[in-house]
Parts: sequence; structure tokens; C-alpha cells
Amino acid sequence: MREISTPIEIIGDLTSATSNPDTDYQPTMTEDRFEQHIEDVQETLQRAEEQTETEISVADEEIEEQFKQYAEKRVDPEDCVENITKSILKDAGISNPNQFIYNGTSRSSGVSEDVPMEVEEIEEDSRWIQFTGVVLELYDSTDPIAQHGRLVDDTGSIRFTIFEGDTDELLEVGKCYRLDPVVTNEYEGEYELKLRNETDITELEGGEALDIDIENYTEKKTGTIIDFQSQMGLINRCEECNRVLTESDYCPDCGDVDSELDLRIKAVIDNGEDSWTVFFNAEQTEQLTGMSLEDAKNKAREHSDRAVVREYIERKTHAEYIELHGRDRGRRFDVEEFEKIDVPTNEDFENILDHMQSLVSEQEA
Amino acid sequence: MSSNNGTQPRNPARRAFAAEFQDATHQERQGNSDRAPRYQLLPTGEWANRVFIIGTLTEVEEHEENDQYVKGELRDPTGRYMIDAGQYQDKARAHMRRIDAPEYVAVTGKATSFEGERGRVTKVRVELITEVPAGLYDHWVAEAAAQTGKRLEQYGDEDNEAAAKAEENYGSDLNKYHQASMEAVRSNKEDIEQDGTVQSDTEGQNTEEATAESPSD
Repeated sequence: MREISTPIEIIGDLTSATSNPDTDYQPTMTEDRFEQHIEDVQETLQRAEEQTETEISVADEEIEEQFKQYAEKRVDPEDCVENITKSILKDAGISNPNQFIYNGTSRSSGVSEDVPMEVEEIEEDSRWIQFTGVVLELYDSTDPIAQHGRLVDDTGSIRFTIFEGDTDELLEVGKCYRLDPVVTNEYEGEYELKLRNETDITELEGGEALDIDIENYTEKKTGTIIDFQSQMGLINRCEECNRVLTESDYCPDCGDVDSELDLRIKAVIDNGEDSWTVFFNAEQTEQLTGMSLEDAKNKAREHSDRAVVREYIERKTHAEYIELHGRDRGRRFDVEEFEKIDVPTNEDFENILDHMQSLVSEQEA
Repeated sequence: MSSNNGTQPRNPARRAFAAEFQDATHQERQGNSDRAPRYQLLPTGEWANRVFIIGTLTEVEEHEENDQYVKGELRDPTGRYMIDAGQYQDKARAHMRRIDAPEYVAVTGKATSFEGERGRVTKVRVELITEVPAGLYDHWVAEAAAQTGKRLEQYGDEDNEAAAKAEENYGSDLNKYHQASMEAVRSNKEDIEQDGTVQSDTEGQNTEEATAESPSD
């Protein structure tokens, strides 16, 4: 058994004491200590067993033995659940053990009806739902991802992911599908849908399908320009490939080149809950700031410094409230059209007051 | 605090009136690494790593010994925020020094707090500060009120972990923030009624040329 011999060891024990105050330092420590983790392993094994129709039968004692081996090497049980599960699955001859381990969530037991949900309602991680949407676009994907892209319904768009081996078929752009069930997943602060082994994919046609024109699809976002990113203002582009250059005469792709000047804004637009990076091209920059590419060149020449261009843009557009139309691509939003939002009127303020007032009566009720 | 093991997404900038932000003294880190972001917990139940405020800059003050530090005071209809910029915010520091108080400004910055003489004090470490027209101030008051209202509505939700944590740290009396928000909207509305020009100033921001002073980028 473990002996407290080094300061590191003591810290380790203190940590587990806080996380599990009832069971540590008890004579029956081993059993209690591993019980929950053994259960976690067994749960995954069972799921793999059902899905692959392979028999995997491992006694709790055997699993406990493995936890003990890790514990002797100072690995806490919660940190080795995955390692142990994986090695058992491998021993059982399962070819892709990760799909069961990195599942994130297991399908809740029972045959509960999955609630149909629309994009704007999805605000919860690890929830199995029914979803109907049209494939807006597909992105390049590499192993272990078989496919990822974006689905849209009448309320917005959401990313979806299919891992290798999870579904028999993949989705096609422009087609409408009912996915029942799919599981929600929070990834990098954004919700996505994961199609899994359990997911029935049904293509909907005619009247059943959502009437969404993928070619001309745009969504609307509103927010405030709260920040800016590097490589904006007056920039150099490679004359050959149009890439934005950090040096005016060298392109990492094309070598020594001539470059031409361009004007753009790389803004962070934020609504208090989400934020997107948004690029405004020269024409859009002029629309926002009144400064054309020519104006910008003159300004930079006058001051012998192109930083004044950026500065000017920042002062003109920071805190601007904007409505964007374009395509949401997760963290980036590709803007096609935009307009500044009118400042609130008295009526707007009255509506807000009425709403706030109604909250009071709710609380009092 | 949402947990995720991927790379950090950019933290949204929360909108909160000074009356609430002043009280948001509880700080936590997400994750264990040294670089894990810090969050101030808003009493109405939301984690704020970053904030966005439009208010009146009322004061800019130099540090007696340290010329790489400048602080200031920002006011909204409900109270005041302490703002500052230090060694690593060259640009924000230059901008704060350049603006003549009193002036309407927009501030994007990190929510943080420190141990003051009379307990923990919140402040905003400025990332970006610019002068803005009054119309944008109206925008912000409306927005901050709406978002405060939304937090109040969601406070009782079962899965609202931030609210549960807020209740634990600050208690659940939210009346103060509710009243302050309504008061802010009311006073702003009166200002508009008295001075119609406030609204008309929406086109563009500062019409004067960007100056050539110390653009550091």
C-alpha cells in the first residue's frame, strides 16, 4: 500500500481528501475508493457490448486490481478510468475503443421519447433530442471525424459531427434529414450535434422537408463591435495569391512578390453571450467609417505611419451596434450585408421598463 | 462555468450596470493551469471574464511613482466603475491619457478584483477605450437593462450553476439590481425626452480626424 514518503504524496492525498471526504482515510478505503470508478468502466463496457454484439465480461475484482496498479504508481482512479476501459476493450478485440470512451455521454437508459428541438432551443449539453434540418455545408474532415458540417432549420444553424464508424451513411449538402436521436455536445463554447450509432437518419422529401433555400441562405446576428484583431486597417496582399502578408515583398506561399494595398476591418462582434470574428472588406469598411482605400493610403502617407488608419477605424467603429446578415461559421461570421442599428427610442425604453416591471410582479407573486 | 476540454473560446463581454459590477467581488479560475482565465461572479448569476461598458469617464489619474500605470473612474446611471491600464496595456494607457474627462466612452476590458482597505474591490482592466457619441450610451443602457433582466429571469432555473454559486456567495436578494436597472432606464428616457439631440447623433462617431499621437500597434 501507499506510504506517505514525499511532500508530493501528501499533496496528492489532501486533494483526494477534499474531493471525497467521507471515504478517505477509512479502513475500507480501497473498496469505496474504486467503487464508483469500477461502475463507470462497467457502464462503458456494457455499452460497447450492446453496440458491437461482442461479449465482454470482466469481474469487478479484476478491474479493481487494475485501479490498484495505477494507484501504486500514483495515478488517481478518476484519471485512469479511460486507460483501463480502453485496455479491456482492446483485449476483447474491439477495433475502435475510443468511440465508446470519448462518447461524452451514454444514451440514457429506457425508451424515453426524444423531444424534437430547434437550433435556438439547444442550450444544454449531452441531451438526446430529435432534430430536423437541411445540410448547409460540409467541411473537410480528417480521421477520426468522418464528416462535419452545418445543419440549418428555421431558427438558425448548428455544427454537426460524425465520428468514423458511428453511422452507416453520411449526409449530403442541400438534403433535409430527420435525425432521431442525436446528442447535443458543447465544444469550444458552442453547441453541436453528434450523430451516433443510435441515430436513425431519415431523408425527408416534398412537403415533409423544411423549405430552406441553401444557395441563398443567410442568418441574422446582432451585436456590438467590442474589439479588433491584428492584421487589419491598411494591409498588404500578395499580387499572386491574394494572401495577407506581414512583409510587403515576401509571401510564404509565392516567395518574393509584389504586393498591393488593401483595407479591411477584423472586428470582434459580441452580444454579451456569444462573439464572432467578422471581416469587413474595403467597401464595407468605407461604409462603416467613411474612409475609402484611397483615403486610407493618403492618411498613412501623411503621417508616415499606417497605424493611424487602424486607429481611425477603432475610434470610428468601437461600440457600434450592428445587425449582420451572412453565414455563421461558428467563431467566424461571414458578413454579406450589415446595417447599424438605430439608437433606442422612447418607446424602446418603455418596452424595456414594462418588461422589467413584469419581473417585479412575478417575484412578488 | 461551462466546462470544456477544447481550446478556450473567446469569453463574451458581459453587460452589467455599475451597481451590480461593484458587488461582483467573488473571483474564480476556470481550470487549474496558471493561464486559466479568471472570472468575477455577477450577483445575478453570470461569470464575467470580460465586460463591455459605455459610460462617462469622469476622472483619469496618474500613478505618483509608476508612469506605466493609469487609472480612472467611469460612471453609468447606477454608480461607478474603477478602470485602469498597466504595463502590458500600452495602447489603452495612451488612450486613457488622451481623453479629456468628462467624456462618453466605450470600454472593453477584463473584469477583475483586488483586496482593498475595506474588502474586495472590482475593477476593469482596460483593453480598448474610445470616445463615443451619446446615442451609443443610450444603446448600452438599453442593452445592459435587457441583459440584466434576462439574468434575473434565469436566476431560478434549475441548471443555472452560476446563479447557485451567486446565491451561495452573495445571497439571493436581487431587488437592488432590479431597481437600479429600472432606474437607469427611467433616467435615460428622461434625458432623451429633455434633449432630443442625444438621439440624432448616430452617424459615425468622432468626426474629427484621428490624431497621429502615439499610435502603437
